Amino acid sequence: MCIHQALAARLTGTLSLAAISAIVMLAGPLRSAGADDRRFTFVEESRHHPPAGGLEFEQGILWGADAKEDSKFERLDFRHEIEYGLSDRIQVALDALEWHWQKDAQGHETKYDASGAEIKFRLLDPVTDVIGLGFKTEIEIGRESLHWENVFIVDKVIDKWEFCYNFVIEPDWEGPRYFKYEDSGGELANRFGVSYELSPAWFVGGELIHEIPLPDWKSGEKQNLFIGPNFSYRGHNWAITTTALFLAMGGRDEAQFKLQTIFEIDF
Amino acid sequence: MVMILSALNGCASRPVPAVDQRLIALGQERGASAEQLRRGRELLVTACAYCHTPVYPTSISMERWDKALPRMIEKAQLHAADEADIRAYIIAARATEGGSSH
Repeated sequence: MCIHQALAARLTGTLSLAAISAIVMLAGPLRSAGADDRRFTFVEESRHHPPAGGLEFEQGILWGADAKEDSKFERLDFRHEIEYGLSDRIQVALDALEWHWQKDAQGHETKYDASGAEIKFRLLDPVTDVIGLGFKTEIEIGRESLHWENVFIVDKVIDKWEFCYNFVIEPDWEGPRYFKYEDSGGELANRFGVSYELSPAWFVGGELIHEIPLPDWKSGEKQNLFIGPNFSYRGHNWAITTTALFLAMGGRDEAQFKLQTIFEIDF
Repeated sequence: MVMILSALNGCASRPVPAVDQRLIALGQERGASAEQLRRGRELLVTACAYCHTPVYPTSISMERWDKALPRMIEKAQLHAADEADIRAYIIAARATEGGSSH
């Protein structure tokens, strides 16, 4: 067994342990906890979810442009998601539709990518507990790819500040034929976010994304580091959050600039 | 590290007033019970704090409180009784600093 397979096996073990821990902790007495809108777009927060019984629609748009190997590269990713609060600390979501428009040296295309489902648990609350802990797992199934994203969330709200860290394990399977996934690989990522509350409606901060691509679970591809500012505004039953990320280091096929906006509406 | 902590401290919000004898007396003059005032403060520093730091009672006008409270009560999925308790606490806390209840 090579070191990468051993790593993959260890990650699977870690995921199983996390899932068991989540179930054990959630089986305990539930304490009432609140829900909140986003402060970040790339970084996941443990307390961002609709309240118990509440519905939220999220519209995400990610614009990426100007790859080093293709200056004409431009891509827009659209995500339409419906979230539901199962309890004060469990959220499920349906990623109804993910599609993209892309332009590059070869031309342009508009294509459906995937649909998916996710579940998110909040184990400890970042406002009332010493530290917030959460876990999100999401499966996206497309005609030519299957992604399984697992996000471990550690965050803390200190007065007007919020600090958030994610460790992401994302195995994926791909193949050129419909639903025949032949190649398996994955990606690890570290995500950091800091946000400051200017007023109850306005938040500003920054996000840092460190991606470690592992094609065939073998290292070798260049790691990517994105960093940039963000802001969030909250209306009565809606919120908008935007992050602009710049590629500090990374592969030549990566967009030099990314702008992600997520629009939330509560029902 | 010291600089970061100093910066964090400098940007910290002002803690909302405790429910002491003076605040209770001023609240009772306006028809609120001590229990109602304690509950109002508790809601302000817990339910409201899930989305943002608690707003200091005198930092905005009572007119703005009147506009914001019903919307926030709905957003936080609280009840009319909760709104009455928070309002009673805000009015009493404003009175301790000579603030208007209107």
